[in-house]
Amino acid sequence: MSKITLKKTVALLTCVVSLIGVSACGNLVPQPKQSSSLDSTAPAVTLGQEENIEKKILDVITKADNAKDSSLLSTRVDGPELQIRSSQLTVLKDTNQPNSNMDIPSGIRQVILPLNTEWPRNIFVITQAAQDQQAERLLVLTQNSAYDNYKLWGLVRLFSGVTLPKFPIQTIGAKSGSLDDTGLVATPREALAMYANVLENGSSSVDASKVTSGQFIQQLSNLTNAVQQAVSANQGWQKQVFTPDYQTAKIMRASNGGDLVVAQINSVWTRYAGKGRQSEPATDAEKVLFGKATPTSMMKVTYVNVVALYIPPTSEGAKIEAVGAERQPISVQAIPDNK
Amino acid sequence: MDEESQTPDKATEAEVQPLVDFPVSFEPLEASVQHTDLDEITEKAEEIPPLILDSHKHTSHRAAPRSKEERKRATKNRSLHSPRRAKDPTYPLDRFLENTSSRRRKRRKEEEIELSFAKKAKQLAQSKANQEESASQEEQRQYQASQAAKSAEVQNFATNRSLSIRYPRYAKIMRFVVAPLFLLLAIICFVFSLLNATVWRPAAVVSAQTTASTRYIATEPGVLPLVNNTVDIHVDSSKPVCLAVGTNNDIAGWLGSTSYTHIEGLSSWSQLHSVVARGDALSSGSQQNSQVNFQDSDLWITMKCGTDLALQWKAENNQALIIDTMPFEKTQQSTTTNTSQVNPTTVILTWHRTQVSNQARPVLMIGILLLLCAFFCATVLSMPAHHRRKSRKRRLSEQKARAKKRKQQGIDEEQPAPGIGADAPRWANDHVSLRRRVESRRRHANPTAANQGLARVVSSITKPHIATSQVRPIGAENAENDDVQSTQVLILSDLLKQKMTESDHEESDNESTQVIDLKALQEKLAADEKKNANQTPEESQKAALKSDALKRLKPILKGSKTTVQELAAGTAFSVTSSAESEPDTASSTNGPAIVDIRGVNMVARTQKASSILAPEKPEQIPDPLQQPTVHGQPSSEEVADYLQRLSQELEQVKEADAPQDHQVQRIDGEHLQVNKFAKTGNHAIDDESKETTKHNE
Repeated sequence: MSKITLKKTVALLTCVVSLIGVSACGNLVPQPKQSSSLDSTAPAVTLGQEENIEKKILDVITKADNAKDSSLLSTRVDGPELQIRSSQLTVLKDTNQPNSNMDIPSGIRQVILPLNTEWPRNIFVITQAAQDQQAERLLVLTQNSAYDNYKLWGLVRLFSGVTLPKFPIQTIGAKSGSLDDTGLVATPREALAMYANVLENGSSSVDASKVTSGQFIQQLSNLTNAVQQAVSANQGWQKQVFTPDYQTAKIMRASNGGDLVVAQINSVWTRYAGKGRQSEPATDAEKVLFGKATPTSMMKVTYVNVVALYIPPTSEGAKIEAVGAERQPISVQAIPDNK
Repeated sequence: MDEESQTPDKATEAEVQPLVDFPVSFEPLEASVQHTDLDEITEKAEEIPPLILDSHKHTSHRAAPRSKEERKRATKNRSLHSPRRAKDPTYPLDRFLENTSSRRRKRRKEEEIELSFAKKAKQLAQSKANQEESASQEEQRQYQASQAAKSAEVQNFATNRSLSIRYPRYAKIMRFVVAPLFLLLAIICFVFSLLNATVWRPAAVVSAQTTASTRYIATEPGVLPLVNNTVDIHVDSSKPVCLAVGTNNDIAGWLGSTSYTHIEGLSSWSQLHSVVARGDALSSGSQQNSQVNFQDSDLWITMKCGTDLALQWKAENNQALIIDTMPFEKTQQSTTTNTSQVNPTTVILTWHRTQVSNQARPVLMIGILLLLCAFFCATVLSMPAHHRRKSRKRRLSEQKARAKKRKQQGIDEEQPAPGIGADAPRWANDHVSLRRRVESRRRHANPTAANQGLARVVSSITKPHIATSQVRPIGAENAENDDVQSTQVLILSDLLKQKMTESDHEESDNESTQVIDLKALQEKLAADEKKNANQTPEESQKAALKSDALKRLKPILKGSKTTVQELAAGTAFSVTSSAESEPDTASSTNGPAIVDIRGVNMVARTQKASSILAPEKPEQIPDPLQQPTVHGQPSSEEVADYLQRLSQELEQVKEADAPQDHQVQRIDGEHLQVNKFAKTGNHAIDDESKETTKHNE
């Protein structure tokens, strides 16, 4: 190969390579960023979405309250709140007297959005005080799956004077907890058990020293003592059994590492009025729920209790504190004497 | 020098004329020594008669050979006019030889060519001479024809020789390799720029589309803000469809294990890249109570339903688009839906660029720079080194050399105009700095042109009048505007002497720049007297002559011992002399100046303000040639008159033979009076001297 041919070949190859490079420069289209670069620090639900969800839920509840039809609640109300509000609507429909406990203030004080993107997802909403100076509400919205919508799972009236733990802001989101979270004075499962034991046994409970005696325990103790005095005079007895529903408990981790647990505790109150006597419903709600049934000496009343417990971290060394609770009878039955 | 020593009355115009050719002697002597090899070459070249194509000229040239002296002079001039040395005579010899080695080789080659060339010419001439003797007229015609052919051949040879330009190696590389390379790169850049401005110009609006036949169409996170954060979504379908924007996790949760069309990005600027994919069922959670329609789900950030949907959305990186082409069917049914039942749906994503990146301009600028590089490589950088612009360092060295040469020739540095000194504002000296800048720019001009011939003689005569302004009393260096300057007008005769004994003056100038210590001087004089006492008559005669010379140079100090001691201690007076401060007086026989520091300082203090406000110019000799020397050449008659005047002055001086005691006088053995100071301006000193004279009388 002569030198001239070699030069021509080299020049041709250079031109071809240059043209390839030049043509490659002309077809550069942008590529999307890889999904690995997408951080998961954003909450699963935006604040705007939460407002829409809350609005939809309140619309459904308002419609149901106005219609006094508990069947309308199922699309947006679920869990213990569905049972409680259905019972309240039944009472309301019968007595036609408004129950202030059913009110849900529209003003929102704080929203705790979930950081976890898995289902079920929980949103905690703390409302402002109602116009009649009622206590603030803690709403728990739950989405069980991607094909479900958010529903109002629980509503808890917060006790006056309690201090809720701090949670991350809405743009960050809070982590969901589990029943076996550690680093706390007790795991959520243990705390629920302790609180149920205190509710059942009162100050004589072995766990009474571990749980702060809140308003709910005191009210329940007062009621139990009054009933006990009445039945004991007629040689009767009364007994309450509290059973927490661990699986449905909603847990949200606070900024300080503590857990805010909202759980359903079912209770059955059995009252025996004495031989030859009749056990009557104790409250208006029980009367409505009991209806026109024939009373016997023994009555069994089923209650749905929703409690909100703050389990502090071990470093704080504080007791388990109930920050809110809700209680509503859902069924009243007269037990025949022969049983 | 010989021309200067002629008497002015005999100096005719013809005799004055050679002064113009004087610069030949100003060339450095080493120039002729440094070019010995070149001289040889040039001598060889001189031996060979140049090629004359015309026969008449050729014969005439042969008839008048040049003499040896003429050839030597021509050789010297040629060597002196070599490109480097002609511009810079101070250029070092070794460096010159080193730089010219390659040039010499080339010149040798050229000489060889010239030799062969000359041989041909000789042969032609010889053959012509022979043929002239023997050939007839017809033969002469034939001969002329053949001669013409041969001369044409020689002419062609010469033409080809002149056309075959010889480049040095680096010039070849720069001109034929680097410059074309830069040119090629520049052309590529221009092509790139053109393409970027036309074909590849990024569109302001990017619109890409795709068509899908599955129930769900979803985009990859990051596709929506691919070109711009704001995206226009357009969905075209024959049946009602719903589109929604949600987070990536929500969409993945909704899709579950359903197959869907996944838009992964852009395959081109007008086409979306899409594939059919299947989701992960585990990410959806429990589907037991899945009763929610697509349009009723809480997962979506925004949602729209219809047949022809359009949505403008400002998307984030973790957001994606999902389209349900069968929104009114239950989700569980969608997993079993046959794709054949789904209407094809077209998805168009449109972005509006807010900042269109245009790469044409920077590429164009790069191309222009490369083109300039190519131009300079082909022109300036391929020039021989001596044709290029001189470097700053070399320019400075040349300026220094010029200044040194001017100093040697007796041309003083320029002084600021009278009355403008350190106290004057900066703008007052601007014209001086401007003139210096202009002169520094004219570095290619012949530095000796202004100092040649008659102009040099006249300027050397007239310059000292300006130099007299440098004579200042000691201690008055800071007093720029004092008038202690003008008595040097009487130095005119000295100037004439200075011209006659120029070499002696140069030596004295080099020696007398010291401050005299009186005590040491007194001791030295005493030692000399002792030495003279012990010498032979011849030696004593020489010593007497020497002491006379010393006395003429040094101040005469007589008086009481206490006075001298006081003078030496500096309590009474200080006596100093500086040839630097007054070179003309030091070089003459007038002896050094003796200055009363107290008086001068006092005068400097008292006269400073008045001198600044109304400076008096020193009195100078009216010189008819002064103006022409500055701006032009004087006529020969004026020069002759002037030289005649000078000779008359010299005769008067010889007749008078006045002693130099007007400079230093002893008064009463106690004080020293200085009369040298100016008659204008320094009135305080004059008054003081009058008072002392009266007191002595």
